[in-house]
Amino acid sequence: MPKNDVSPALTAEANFYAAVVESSDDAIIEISLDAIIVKWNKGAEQIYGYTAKEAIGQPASLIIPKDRAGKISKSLAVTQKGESVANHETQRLHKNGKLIDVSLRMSPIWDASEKIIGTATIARDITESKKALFYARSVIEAGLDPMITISPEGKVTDVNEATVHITGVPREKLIGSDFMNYFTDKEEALQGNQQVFKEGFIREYPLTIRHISGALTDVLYNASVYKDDKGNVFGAIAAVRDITDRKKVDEQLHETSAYARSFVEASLDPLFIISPEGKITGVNHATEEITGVTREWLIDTDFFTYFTEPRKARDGYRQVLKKGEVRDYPLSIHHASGNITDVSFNASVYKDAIGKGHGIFAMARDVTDTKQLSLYSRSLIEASLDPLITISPEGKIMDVNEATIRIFGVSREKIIGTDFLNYFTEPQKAREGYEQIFKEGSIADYPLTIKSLDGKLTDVLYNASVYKDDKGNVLGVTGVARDNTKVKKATEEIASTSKEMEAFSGSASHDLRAPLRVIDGFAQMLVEDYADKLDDQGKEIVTNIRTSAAQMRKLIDDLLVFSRLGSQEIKKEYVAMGPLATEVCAELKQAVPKRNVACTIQKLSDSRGDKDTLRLVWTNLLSNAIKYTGPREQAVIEVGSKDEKESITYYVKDNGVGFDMKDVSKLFNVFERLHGVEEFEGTGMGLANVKRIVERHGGTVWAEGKFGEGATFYFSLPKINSAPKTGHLWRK
Amino acid sequence: MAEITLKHILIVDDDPTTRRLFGSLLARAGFEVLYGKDGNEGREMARRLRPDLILLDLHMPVMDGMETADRLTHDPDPLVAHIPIVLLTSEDLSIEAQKAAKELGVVEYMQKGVSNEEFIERVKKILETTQKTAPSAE
Repeated sequence: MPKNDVSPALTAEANFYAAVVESSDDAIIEISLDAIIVKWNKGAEQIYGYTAKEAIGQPASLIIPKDRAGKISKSLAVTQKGESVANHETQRLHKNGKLIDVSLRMSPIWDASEKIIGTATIARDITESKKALFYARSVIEAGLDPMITISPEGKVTDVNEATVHITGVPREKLIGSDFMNYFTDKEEALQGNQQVFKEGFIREYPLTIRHISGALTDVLYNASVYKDDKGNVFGAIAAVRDITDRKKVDEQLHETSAYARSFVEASLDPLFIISPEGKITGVNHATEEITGVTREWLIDTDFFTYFTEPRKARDGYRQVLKKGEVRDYPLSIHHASGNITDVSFNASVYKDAIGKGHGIFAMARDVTDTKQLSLYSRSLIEASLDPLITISPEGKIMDVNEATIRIFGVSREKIIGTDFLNYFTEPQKAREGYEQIFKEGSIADYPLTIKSLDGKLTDVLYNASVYKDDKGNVLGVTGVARDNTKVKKATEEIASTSKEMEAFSGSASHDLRAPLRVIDGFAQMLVEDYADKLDDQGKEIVTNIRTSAAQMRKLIDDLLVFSRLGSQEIKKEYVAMGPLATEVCAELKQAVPKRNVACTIQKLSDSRGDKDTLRLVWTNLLSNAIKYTGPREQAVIEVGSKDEKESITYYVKDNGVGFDMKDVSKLFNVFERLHGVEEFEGTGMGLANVKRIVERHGGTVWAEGKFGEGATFYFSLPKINSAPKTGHLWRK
Repeated sequence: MAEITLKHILIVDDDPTTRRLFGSLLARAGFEVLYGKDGNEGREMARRLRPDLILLDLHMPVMDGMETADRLTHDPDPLVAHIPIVLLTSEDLSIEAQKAAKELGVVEYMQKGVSNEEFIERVKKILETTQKTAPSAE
């Protein structure tokens, strides 16, 4: 219709819409109030087969199938009232007489004065998509499993005969209804569907379908979304698999293996049954505990997702499939809370009861404690400077420390798992030693020669023993090799060092003595020759110098004795102890004429040893007794001996100041003094020398005392006719 | 006569303070003291000055007391060879060492640690006993 009264702007707008209409693939036509076609675009020509020329002026019924004539006049009446008819699928008549599927909407057309002047219908040819739908349907129908298509809203949009059969609900009633109505657990079903639309798919989701008769069917629900080529999700296609039969078989299996099952359940070790595809198909309670995931969630998930190292888990799984089993495969399980449990896996392939198909039976053992223990033992192993090695009962090396790696000249990875015999110049001898360990439990100082990768030989002494579990089963052997050459060298070094030390202290003492003598000599001359020139203070100073010099001299002498005792050969001569002690006592008494000293010497058993050094023992003990009885009006000293089975014990008892028994361990230490020099003079070497002399004779020293109530010092010497205790002492 | 009783004593010691201490003690006791700082110098002085007594330190570098004593007692000059020698030591001498020293003609050995008084007393005693056997210096 020409519109002469319109403004240029409106004309432009009309032209724009005209262009859009013309270029559309949809059939856009305008029908007048009296149902005559007044506009016909290119899309209409394509879809309906009539040219614009042929169609315009014709009644709308031209393209309406006869059985829909009533419906179309109703729709036109709706639009003429100013309302639209929403998009709907319907059929139209092609020029060639065939029905075409179209998706169509109708809306009223207003003129400028807002008066309805006609109806616009926009139709889209959906024959092709209908074809696709039929194809899909045939696929759906071909499936023996119940299949459902579901809209994103959860409405059933299509079903197949199997679905009708399993639900007992006719197809018409199924379509458009809420899909979850047909499951016993609607919530579960809804969750499953949500998962489909969220993640795009769901696999083997267990549900139970309820037939209208009340009969239940256990199914596994598999679904995935379907999208158009632009990726828009239109809905989900779900297939459910009736597993009632399978369940029955399972139940039978469960019954027959009820014992085994209860055992499995009761097992404290987490258990995984894994399908060849790597899905968990069975777990026990312990598995739930260790993963923090319930059985329902564990089943059908990928088993390796529960490990800190999924790749390693998968590798282990492949090994099982390849070799039939793996043992002690270390993995760490991730608990839902984030905790990690170290486990050791033993897994093997199993055939199911029907003999059909297979899976993997994997048992995990929590080795956290074991691991800690083994870390502990590893640290011990590593801490050892000696080459340490653990060997399995089969003779394979299980662990080594750095020292072993160094001595073998091979990396840890290359050592572990290899035969330990390989590393010795005499494998046969190594094997014999190994057999001996198993026979006797251990070997000591077994000489072998290790040959390193680069051919270096190391003589070692092997000490090894078996280690067992708490049931007494032998788990392996722990061996320590001691590099013999090193020990030898070290011993020699120590010997020469201590010789050097003794030589040094000996010569140092001599060298110290000479100048000390000079100091004292001149000091004495000073006080004697210049007495008239020195006042009292000057004289006191010189006296102090001389006192200090005397102390130092004594100290040097004691040190000399001490160092000599370390190296000098101890003579073994007959020593009459009674006369020796008496003599020493008399000498010492003479030195303190002003003191009242009562020295009683009981009958003493004779001994065998080095008279000069034994004299030193008596001298030190008796002078101590005299010294520490200083505060007493009368010093009462008693010397005696007592014959024991293999030794003679000598003692020196006094009524001196004594000592606290808590200090007894310090008494015999070098330079140890329990009293200040001002109180009791001394070098702190006396008892140390006594100890050294007695021990060089193969005896022991000890003391008893009470603070303020005297002390008794004991020393024992081997009996004359008893066997020597230390070989070197009596060598000659 | 004071001049006749004036005895010459040679001290051979590598340590100057030790030399001086014993020298001072001897001088104080009325002896004429000669000093030698090592075995060679000691020998030379002994041959030249022929002292009445030689105090010989055992531990000396180059030529120790034993060797010096050996050379002196075996000196071609009998007047030198007969000078009594006393070994001064800072420690006890082992029986073996004492024997060896005796064989070399050493009169006795004395520890340097002896007190001032004992030192002088022993020197005087040695001089008295050796005087009788020693050939006259005349």
